[in-house]
Amino acid sequence: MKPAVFAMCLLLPLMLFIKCGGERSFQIPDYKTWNKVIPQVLDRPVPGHGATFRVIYANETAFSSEIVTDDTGVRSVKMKDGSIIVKEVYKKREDVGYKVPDLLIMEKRGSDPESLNGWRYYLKKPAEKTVEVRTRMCVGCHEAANEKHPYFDGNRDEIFRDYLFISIAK
Amino acid sequence: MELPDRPEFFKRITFKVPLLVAVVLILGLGVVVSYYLRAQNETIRRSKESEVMQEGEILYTAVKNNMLAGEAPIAVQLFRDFERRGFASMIGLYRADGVSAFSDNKTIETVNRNLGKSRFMDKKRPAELRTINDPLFLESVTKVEDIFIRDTRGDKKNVLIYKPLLNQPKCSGCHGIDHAVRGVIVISSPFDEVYRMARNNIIFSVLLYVVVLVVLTGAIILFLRRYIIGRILELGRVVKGVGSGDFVTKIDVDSVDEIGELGNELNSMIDGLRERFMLSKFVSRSTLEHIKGEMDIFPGGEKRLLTVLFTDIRNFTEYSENRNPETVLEMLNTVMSMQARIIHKNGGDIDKYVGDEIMAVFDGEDMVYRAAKSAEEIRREIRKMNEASVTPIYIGFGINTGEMIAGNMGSVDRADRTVIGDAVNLGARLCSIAGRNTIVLSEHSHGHISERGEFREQKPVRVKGKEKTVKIYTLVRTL
Repeated sequence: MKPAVFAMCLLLPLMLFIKCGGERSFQIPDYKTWNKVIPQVLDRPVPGHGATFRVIYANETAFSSEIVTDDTGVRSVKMKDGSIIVKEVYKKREDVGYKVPDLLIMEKRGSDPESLNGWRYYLKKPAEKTVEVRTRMCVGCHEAANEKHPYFDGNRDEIFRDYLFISIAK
Repeated sequence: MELPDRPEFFKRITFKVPLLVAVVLILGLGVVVSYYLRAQNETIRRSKESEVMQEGEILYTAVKNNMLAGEAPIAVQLFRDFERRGFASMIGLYRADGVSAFSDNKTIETVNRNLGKSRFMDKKRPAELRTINDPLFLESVTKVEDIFIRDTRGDKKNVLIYKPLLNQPKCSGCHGIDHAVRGVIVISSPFDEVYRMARNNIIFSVLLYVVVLVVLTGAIILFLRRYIIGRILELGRVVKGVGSGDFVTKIDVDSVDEIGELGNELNSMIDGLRERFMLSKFVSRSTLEHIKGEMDIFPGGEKRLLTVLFTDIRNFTEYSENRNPETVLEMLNTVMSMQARIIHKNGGDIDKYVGDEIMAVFDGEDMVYRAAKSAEEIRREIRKMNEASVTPIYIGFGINTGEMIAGNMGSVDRADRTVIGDAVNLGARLCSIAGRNTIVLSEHSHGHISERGEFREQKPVRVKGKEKTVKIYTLVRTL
């Protein structure tokens, strides 16, 4: 075997390994064309966001998710893979729709072993790169969505909502 | 390229091969053992760390669910029980400001203030305050991130986990919304046992490595010496013996492998060489010299100035009459061997033996003198032999110098390397007319060495094949 071919055989897997080892990139979708999860601007101060103003969008895949009822009659929400929820966060009410907000994004990737409870979380600040949030910050709150909580309908029945505080599944 | 001078030992295969084996084994086994050792220790360490992380996650889930509204005392009791049970791991809950939870009334006061009523009573006897000032603790709070610390600096090695406990929506009613982190679960687990295992692993592996290395190196070297190097050296020893003329010792072939095959081939070669060596005794040196480097032998020759010496035992018939053949042959061999030795010593070449006669050829510088010297020495030796013998032996000598044709006589299939010509014939005639122990030189030969010896001019003689008489001289002694 020629030395160059031999070197290629050695280097190719290494290059693939290096390539595969890179951080996953996420392209911010054109979410403004999507439907809002709730028409109102959310203004209730919440831990983590503080006294901010939030507008939430979801893609069609998210809206097409269904409520599943099992053999025992227990209902639960299973969001489809590919569901994306985008939360705009504004500091002031008058900025809503005018200024570039912080974006907090959830992407459903149920079979992804790197996902947190089936979701990957991203943060995009104006003029900054999108970063994936792998700390407890996002998932720490969203894991409580399947219990009773003080938002929206409060999930009084404590059904599994796939870590979303409001159910948008049909 | 010339190799630098090194001690002979380092050049030998008996050094190089074991060295190569040892180096390959040291490096090869070393790389493998160190890789697996490193991998195994890493696995042990990761396994323990993973176990601690898992424990932390379970604890986090338990604590999170115990911290529901109004259920804080359950969490207090949980941590108190952890402390009482005396687990190897230290498990604690701290507020975001680094102060141990449940040790004072600060949280109770906050909750009561947020609820607008005295839902919980102040502690009457606050517990001992413990504070963590680790910057990584603060980082865990600010980044809302689990922080895993491997502390292996001191004697007491441990792993430490800071797990922030979030102020979830359900908690914010009591604890307020101005902070994301309610507290931090701290788990510190001793890691000494893991390091002890890793250290023992290293010690055992290194010992095993050394033992395996020594055993393997020894076994391979012994194998190589016994079955390869030793046999190659044996081949070399036998071949060296052949070079020194030992055509009797053969290679002891006891296998059918490549070295065995080589041994058989060498044995066949030795047989062939022995045959040729024996054959070489039946031909003259000039013939041997001539055939060296010649691919083929063709009849033909060249005219050269040479000196011939003929010797002939004068009274051989008389000597052999009353003796058995063995005795005669023994005497003949003794005399012929003595003559051959002296002729060779003086640079002569025995062209042929004809019965009890020797024909020798001398070439090059001093050829006449060396021929005369040979004859004189033979005469001296024969006189010595005669002193101890009942029946004396006498030899006649004839020496002539002149142009002769030296070359291959015969056919392509069978040829003799010899000299022919008038000058040769005259040498033979001079020998035939020489008296007992008399050395007869032709005029030409005498002319070459007349100043280097004492001669007596004899009466010219008529020899067969010559019309005119020939002037001859006898050698008294050389100077």
